[in-house]
Amino acid sequence: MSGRLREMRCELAYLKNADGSVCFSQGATCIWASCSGPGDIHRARANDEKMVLDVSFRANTGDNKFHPLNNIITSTLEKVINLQLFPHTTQVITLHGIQDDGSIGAAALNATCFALLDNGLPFDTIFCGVTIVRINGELIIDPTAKQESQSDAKILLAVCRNRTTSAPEICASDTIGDLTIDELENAWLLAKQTALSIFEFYRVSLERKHSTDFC
Amino acid sequence: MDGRRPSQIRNINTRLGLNRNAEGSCYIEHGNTKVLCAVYGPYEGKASKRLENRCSIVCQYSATTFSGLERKNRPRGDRKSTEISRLLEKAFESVILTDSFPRSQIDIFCEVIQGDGSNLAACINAISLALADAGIPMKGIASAVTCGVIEGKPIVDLTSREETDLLPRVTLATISGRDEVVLVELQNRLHIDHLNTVMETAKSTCADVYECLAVVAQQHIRACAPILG
Amino acid sequence: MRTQPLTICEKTLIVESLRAGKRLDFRSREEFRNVKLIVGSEIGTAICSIGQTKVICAVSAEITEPSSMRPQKGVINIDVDLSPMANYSHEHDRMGQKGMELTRLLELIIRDSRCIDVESLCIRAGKEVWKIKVDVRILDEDGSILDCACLAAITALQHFKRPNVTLEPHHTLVYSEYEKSPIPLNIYHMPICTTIGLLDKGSTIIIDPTEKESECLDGTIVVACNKRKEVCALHQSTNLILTTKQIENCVKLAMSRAEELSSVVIDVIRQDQRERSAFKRPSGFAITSPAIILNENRVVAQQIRAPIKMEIEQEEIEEEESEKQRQAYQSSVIMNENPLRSDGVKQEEIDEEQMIDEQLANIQQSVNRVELDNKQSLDRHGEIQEVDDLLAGLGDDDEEEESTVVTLGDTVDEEDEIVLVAKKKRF
Repeated sequence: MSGRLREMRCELAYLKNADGSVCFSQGATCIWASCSGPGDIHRARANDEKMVLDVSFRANTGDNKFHPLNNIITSTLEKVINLQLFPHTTQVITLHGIQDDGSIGAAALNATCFALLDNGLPFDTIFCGVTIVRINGELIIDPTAKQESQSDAKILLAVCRNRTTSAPEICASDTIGDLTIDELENAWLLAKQTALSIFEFYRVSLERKHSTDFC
Repeated sequence: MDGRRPSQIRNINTRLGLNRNAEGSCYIEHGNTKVLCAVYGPYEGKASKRLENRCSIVCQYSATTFSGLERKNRPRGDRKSTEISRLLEKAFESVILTDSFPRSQIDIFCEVIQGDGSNLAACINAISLALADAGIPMKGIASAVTCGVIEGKPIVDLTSREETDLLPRVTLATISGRDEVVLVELQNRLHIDHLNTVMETAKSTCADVYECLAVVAQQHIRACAPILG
Repeated sequence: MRTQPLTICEKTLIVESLRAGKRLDFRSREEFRNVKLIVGSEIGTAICSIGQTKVICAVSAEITEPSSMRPQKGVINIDVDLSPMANYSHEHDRMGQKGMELTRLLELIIRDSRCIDVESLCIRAGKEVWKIKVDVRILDEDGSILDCACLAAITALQHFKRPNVTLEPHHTLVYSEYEKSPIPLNIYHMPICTTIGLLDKGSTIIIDPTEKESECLDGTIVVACNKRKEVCALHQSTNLILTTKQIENCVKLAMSRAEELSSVVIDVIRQDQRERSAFKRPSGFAITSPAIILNENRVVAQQIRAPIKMEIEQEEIEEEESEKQRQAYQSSVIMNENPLRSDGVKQEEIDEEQMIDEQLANIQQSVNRVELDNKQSLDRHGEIQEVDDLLAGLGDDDEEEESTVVTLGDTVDEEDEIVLVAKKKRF
């Protein structure tokens, strides 16, 4: 079973005003992500024990108030960052879907991780996102928009690394459509491999960025 | 269209000191455009709006539901009103000597009872007079006028029939008729060659309007003087 | 979150250097920053960046009922989104005073100056008109956001094409882009906005101030002009006292700027049109020219092999190596093709299957899709050369060159494929 991960491109520290930002693209899907924080927050919304996460995914057109991706990103982050390190603060994470050519959920998760890494926030473990769709009984990773529209089931997996064994494990998932347990397992196997190569990409990019003394 | 010459402004009628509760109030008529204005302050104001070194000015512009050609549903809070309110705030921040009242607030309420063109200009004139009535120190009385241009010839003090979508119009507000512009607002497209003429005409007309306003203010103060002793 | 306030030392430094005619980014007082304009692969999207300020604008259209006062005119809605991405003092989904002002000014410039012909947007008088929604999103803020937003908006409007419709007695038929080509909007003129800052009660003029500079200035004046030497909007943003002479100077400066920028916008749109008519799907925003090389990284498309529960893992690994280097750019031909032809595409995949060695059935099929894509990329090599010439200065070239790194296995078979594909494309 195999698939193809599209070409990934990232540019870190892309924006001037945000603490950490990235312009990330996977194939022709392009997302800009930024995160700012930990910063101060209005007393009414502050949490005495944890950092408050304010995540918002904004598409190019349309109303921005609620987007299903906000949920999966927030739940992944809650698992991955130790929020108790920064009480009374907030982290504002904004994502803009600049161009959508399929698998935008996965690109969003990857971009968020990049932005947070660029910010320098301490993580327990890194994470990435993989989208898998099923077309005619085939499982395809990283679909394009056309493939997504032809598919009949879709899985978005947020994959993170186990702290001790550093093997990939599922952190959050969002599935649409009916899938058998077998298919889910196959999808997970595909996703594991993909995750490893994405983690490699993270490592290489950040090594490049920090390879000089001044960034 | 109403028989005036291109450079002739409409008749101005004013009444100052109408509203007993407000520190200063004024009712002004430019032809058929009728505007009522009240000024409260300076007073302590809200903590959120307090500025350390100067006075904050809050302005509210509203047009009554029966002021225009058709019935308006929302007298205040819609986009246009908020925009005009902001413009008026900005304009008067430079006219009033705000440095003399740190940490206080001046409220300005402006109500257009009948809008027949040049609403913004009429409001500015009304507010200036109301501020004079309230005795708030200013750099000078601000006067404003709306001018348009047709085929290269400027016309002043537009009525609502003349304020069509095709005609470019500029609203200009100056202090005491001098060359100090506090507000400039342009609607529709204006060719650059005409800009000069329009500005000049607007400026001179503002000076004329200022003369009228100054006279009115002086009369009123003279009339009030015996009361104040 | 609160932003860092400007310190008094910084403020004094900036004001004094401005008075002496010097600026922190080595520009002169009357110099504009560089403008970069990119249009996206979806029609009606554009990103504009002036210096560090970045704004994206997306235009979309839908059918609505017109207002009763203007039954024959289409509706134009402008929506501005100031996200915390631009400046973390903004909040999600809340438009503060700044946002309101920006929206109102954009409406003034784009809607009230009547640069778009709204009467052509009417489908049925009184019942159906097109509503054009212009979504402006501010991505990064460094002064002159209004200029940037205005430029992005008019580029997106020029780029946008609305669907074609025909009127039937009882309903309206809206065609998709495959049936009848969409129609561009009718735009009369392009208003271009310039922000001019003023210092010292108006005696010093600063063009295109950055954010730090704008906090130190007395005020700014916004002038929008178009190529035809008309002033479309004039607005004073903060409390200032000016003379009319100063206003006229500002207007003159804005006028010359508007002419330059109009030609830039037209160039960009034309280039994009050329690309699209050559059936090359534009990559749009996926390409960026990195400002700092070390901050950028890319990795080519990779083949992912999952360990299948069955035992035949040795063979798979060998196959993996040979195909590792293949780039797989999204094939443009398929996207622009009529979906009714999808049968034709499937046909080709099955043919290819016969040419590949025996492996497990599922692996074969997923590999086939990759093969198809590769053939496309080879075929477009010639086109790529042409388009390279046209694409001067947009920094797109990196992408194209990468695509030619392909390890050719069975040349004989692939040439047949190319011929097949070429024939298909000539329709």
